[in-house]
Amino acid sequence: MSESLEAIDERYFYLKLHYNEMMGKCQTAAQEEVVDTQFTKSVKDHDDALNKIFKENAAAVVQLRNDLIANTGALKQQMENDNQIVTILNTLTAGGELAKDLLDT
Amino acid sequence: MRRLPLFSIRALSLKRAFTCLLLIFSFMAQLGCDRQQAVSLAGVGVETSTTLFTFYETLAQHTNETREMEVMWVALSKEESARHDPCNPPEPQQASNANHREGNAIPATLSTAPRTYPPPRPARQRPRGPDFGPAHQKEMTDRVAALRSRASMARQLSNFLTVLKTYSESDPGAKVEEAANKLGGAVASLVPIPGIVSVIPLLSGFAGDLKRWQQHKNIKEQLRVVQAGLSKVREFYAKEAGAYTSILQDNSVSATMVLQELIKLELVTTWTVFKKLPEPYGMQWAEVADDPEKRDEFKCAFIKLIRLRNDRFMANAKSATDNLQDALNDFDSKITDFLNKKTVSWESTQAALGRAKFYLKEINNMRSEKESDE
Repeated sequence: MSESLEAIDERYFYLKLHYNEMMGKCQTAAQEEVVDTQFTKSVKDHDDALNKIFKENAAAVVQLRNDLIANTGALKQQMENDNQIVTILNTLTAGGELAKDLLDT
Repeated sequence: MRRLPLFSIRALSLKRAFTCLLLIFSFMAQLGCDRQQAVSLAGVGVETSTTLFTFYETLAQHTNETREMEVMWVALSKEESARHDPCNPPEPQQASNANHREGNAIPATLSTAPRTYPPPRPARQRPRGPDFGPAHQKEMTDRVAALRSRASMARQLSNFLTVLKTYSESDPGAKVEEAANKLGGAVASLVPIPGIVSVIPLLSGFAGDLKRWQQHKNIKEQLRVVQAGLSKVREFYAKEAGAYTSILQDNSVSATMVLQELIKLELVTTWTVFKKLPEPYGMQWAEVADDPEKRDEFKCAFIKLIRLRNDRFMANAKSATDNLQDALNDFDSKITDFLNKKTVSWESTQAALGRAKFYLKEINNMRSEKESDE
């Protein structure tokens, strides 16, 4: 089972906050090497964990965004259609009034 | 077959007509009420999705800032004294001014008194220090792109809900009714059929009601679309919540580590943080800041302070993520209530949203405090 993000975070944040102090306490190059390797690994683990999470949903996010754009367009079109009905009715009214004026004259 | 007397038939028809009218009237009244609820629902949705957009933008911004702070930290960590731990200084016999290595001079911001440094270590092949290589840089760039993609999605959700709110606010039924009434008048004046004038309001009213019913149906359909989208948002938000908190916390940790190196290297004036503290008590600071014996104690105190702030910031990061998740869940349940014709109340959604906004503001406030400290 892969390690939880919480556990990865805990190690990564601790090493990031205390890296220089830990290096300062090292007496030999071998000790420094250990701290450095641990730190580099924790950075990679953290990057990999976050990257995996975001990649899993990348396609779904793009699909949802496109669906929302399409639905917004459809709803705007619906509003436009409503306005057109009113415009058509008003045009017919104007036509009727014009015809009446012509018949009267 | 037995025929009903004429009076009874008429009485029955009148009763039916009255019942039908009553039903239509109550249905139309319900439509009007639903429309108002839909306007409020869409309004809350716009607020929720806008907060979600702001949240993702904040995360992307924090990621970029973290990267900048890491670069700064790497540069500062090349200094030998950045590794000196003021909260755990070396023994006096180990450290002396004679140990001060050439090229590692620290700006004399407090005094010119001799300072203590850790003993020099044997020369190494390369100066050890944190390394954020090209692979890490690429990960950070990808992370920002992923967050911007989510911000864009949240903005689209907000746009959709804004259009839905405008649609719910509009009354196409009234417009159609008015236009149909005018048209009926024009037709009646052209073709003078007896009794047509009295039918016109009824027909135009029917046209308007038909439009209102269609609008009501559309609103419900669109809310189902919103709910389907929201369900996906909730799904990946739940999966990614840990990553969001981690990004915010990483920013805080990065700022803290840069600040603690700046304090160790005496590149910042820490006194200003508490400058006004003794004033209300009629006291003023003594000149102890220049005392080399006390320097490590002061540095240690300020490092403890910024770590304490870091703890607070990390808790706020978790609260902001959790409360926004609550607001999304709550908004979803309100749509369900609306679609199931239940009475919808906004208190819980507004409360969760308010808390999420509060913590986001706190995060931004603390960041500007840190910026001013730097």
